Amino acid sequence: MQVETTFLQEQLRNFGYSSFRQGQAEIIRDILAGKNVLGILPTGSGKSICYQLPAKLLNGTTIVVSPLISLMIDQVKQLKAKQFKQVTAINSFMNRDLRNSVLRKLHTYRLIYVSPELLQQQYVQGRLRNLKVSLFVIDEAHCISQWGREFRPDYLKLQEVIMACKFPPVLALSATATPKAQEDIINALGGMEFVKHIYPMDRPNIAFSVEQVENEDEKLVIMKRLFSQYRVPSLVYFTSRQAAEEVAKELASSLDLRIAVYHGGMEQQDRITIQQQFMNDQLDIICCTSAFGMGINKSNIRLVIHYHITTQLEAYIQEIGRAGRDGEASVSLLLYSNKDIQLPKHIISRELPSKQELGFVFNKLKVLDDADKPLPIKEEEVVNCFDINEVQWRFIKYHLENHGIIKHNSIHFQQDTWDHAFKQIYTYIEKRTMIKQAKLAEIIDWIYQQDCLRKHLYKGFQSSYQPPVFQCCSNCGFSWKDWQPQQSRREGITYSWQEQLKNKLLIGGANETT
Amino acid sequence: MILEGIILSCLSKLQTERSISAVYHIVTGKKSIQTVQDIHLYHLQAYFSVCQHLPKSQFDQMITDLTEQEMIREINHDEQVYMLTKHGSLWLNKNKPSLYLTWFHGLQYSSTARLFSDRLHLIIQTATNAKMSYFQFIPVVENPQVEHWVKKQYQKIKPSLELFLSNLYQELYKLLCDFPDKLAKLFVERLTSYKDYGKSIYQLAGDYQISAIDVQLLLTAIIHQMIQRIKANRDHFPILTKVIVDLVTSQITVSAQTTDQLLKTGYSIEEIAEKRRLRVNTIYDHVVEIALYEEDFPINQYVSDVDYHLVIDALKIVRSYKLKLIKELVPSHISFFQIRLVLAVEQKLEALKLGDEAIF
Repeated sequence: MQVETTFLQEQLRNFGYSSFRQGQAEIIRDILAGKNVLGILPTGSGKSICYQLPAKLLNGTTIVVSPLISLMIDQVKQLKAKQFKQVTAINSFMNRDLRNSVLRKLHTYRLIYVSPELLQQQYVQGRLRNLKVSLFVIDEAHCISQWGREFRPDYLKLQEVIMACKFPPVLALSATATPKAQEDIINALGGMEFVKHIYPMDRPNIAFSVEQVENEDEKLVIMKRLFSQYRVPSLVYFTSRQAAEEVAKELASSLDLRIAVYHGGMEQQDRITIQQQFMNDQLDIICCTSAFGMGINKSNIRLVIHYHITTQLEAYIQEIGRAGRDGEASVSLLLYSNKDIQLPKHIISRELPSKQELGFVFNKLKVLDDADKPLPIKEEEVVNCFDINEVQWRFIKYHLENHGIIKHNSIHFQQDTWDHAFKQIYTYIEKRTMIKQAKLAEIIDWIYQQDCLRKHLYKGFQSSYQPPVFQCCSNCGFSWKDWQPQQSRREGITYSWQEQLKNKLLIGGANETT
Repeated sequence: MILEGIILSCLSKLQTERSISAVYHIVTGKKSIQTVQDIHLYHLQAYFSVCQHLPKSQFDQMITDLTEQEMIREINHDEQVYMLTKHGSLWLNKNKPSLYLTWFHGLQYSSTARLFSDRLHLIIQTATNAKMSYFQFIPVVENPQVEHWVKKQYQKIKPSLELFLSNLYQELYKLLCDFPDKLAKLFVERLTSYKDYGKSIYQLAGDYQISAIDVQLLLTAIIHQMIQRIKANRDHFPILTKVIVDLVTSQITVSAQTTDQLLKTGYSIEEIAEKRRLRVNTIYDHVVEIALYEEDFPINQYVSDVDYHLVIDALKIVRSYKLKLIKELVPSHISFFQIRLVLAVEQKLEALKLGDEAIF
């Protein structure tokens, strides 16, 4: 399909945007021409438009593989709000009735979000076979290289699904992918031809500051000082939910700012409330975990603070990338004390099973096999039976299947294969853990870097970077004094309920439409 | 504080005749005949289903806390029976007025209240956004039934949004004036409007320095009270009346209704059980439920006059609604089912004597 730019521009208006951002039009044109596209676009550049717009134009269904249920649900809500109604998200949280009813009328949707795990279900694949799939999208495609190897093995099986869909054009999208990860993505999809649209991810309007501190108290002191000077839309990232809650409370008690918490443990409705309040500038600071951000489209976030470090630079770049999408001067601040390395280390060590845990699983499998008992079916039962978490189980199961020890949920015992498999899996775990520790070492190196932080942050991803528009980084002489962003409006006097009710129901002169 | 108050109230009325889990089933609105009968026997209709989503762990924690504060005491560990201590009883009497416990009408309004609140929130969000010609908002309420209702209403008010909002404002203003300012504010701050998202339960809890569960209970109490007033003054609240008018549902469960119809067509209990593929005990439960609500329940079809009076006599002796104790005092041919039926009918008659207060 050959399309005119003016036509695409018109279509874009349906989504509430007036012009394309870097890369969007080019990617869309290639998709509509039926090519496979690998798109690496920086966070906040509107990746989703690259498939949402084609989905509306193409004759047939667009499938979007997405890693997070909350992200899918958000996207569906936002699209419906934009009057694009033929969209749905199939996920494991839907009850059976609802899911069946959605699956029955699958052909009536133009855009379907789905998790890689659900795509492996036989009946879902069966339904897909009968569908005219005109575009197959892998959102957050770096998951193929990052997560696919471990707790999302179904990411590595997407090739078969694409086959079942009779090879529609594929669009793989990501915000961060090193050249190595790009290669991984293409290989995992069977090495098809891809047109690459790779855009630099460096952000010239964000200044980087790293501050070394002695302890947690000092982090609080610094934040309190900053937030009493700057009333700007801000995010503070934490690794633990509990820390996010505690610090939010502490900040709220001493600052005259509107502060909220956001993490994956909250109810869907509460999360939407916080998102929307932040979008409407009803909140100043959000203390959050990595759950906040994907799919959030707020252009005037000025300050992103990392209270904890991430386990790798990719995640860090994504999170700071939420600042200053409007191009105005914005700052990212990382607070780091020597002890902080323990938390990501702990996370890494818990992601994959230890030698003891792996041994325990093997013993337990033998006991089950000797007693002629099948594998527990439900994931929670498995977790109880083997005393490991779900992520660890998914990892082990994937490898046991590869070694032929588990076939269709039954156990196949043979001493030789077992010993061999145990050694192989354990070697693999060690290798993965080492890679992750190396990733962690990268971010630690970056923190201790004496040279320009901008230069070293992006060096693994791209060969060059743009010069900073405002300040560069704390190693190149960053000064808070020189950062004078526009302050948010102070919340006026507290209104009485009578006035508030009037305002909410848009009564009175100020709220008249003209 | 409010949930504590409710638990203490329940315990004081249950008089150690039920285990602590009966209280949990009442406040979370368990739809079992045992719970339904309990709320009638012990006059606890007000608290039925007032915190539907209270996690058991949170409830258990509260029982532990109340025990530590010596407000309640465990008197039977095996059966998990608790009683109110003197201290607890004094606390309850002292704090009762400030806990708004009299505002709750759980059995009567809990399901209506949830829908009323959802409809009201969504229609305000829809009408205010529509007035500003902004149609890309994310609905605060996720309930297809409510969405459907709002869509229908929106078609009607679309030509005169301005008038609708100003009338709704007048009605809400009038209604809220009867509430303490603090509570009116709580209610208003929860509302979502154009570019003004309402506060979450947790935010309100932080602002008002009370627990999240108490915020929920306060909002529930306010809404029950609102419904009460709207119903008593329909002429003053035409819009709000419309919001609740079709929500008056029968108290009897759908399944019991089906059983009732079959009984009236002449089927026996056993036949109904077979026909509906349910256990006979389940049908017994239905019949007890029918007996609780139906005005001319034909008790004599199930219990002879003589047996009826034997049960009443036993009831007077044991002065308790513990079925086991009553059963021990009556001839063995009288079944638990029959005893429960007598209690249900007696309960209803007593309620009639008490007047309007206890009839639902």
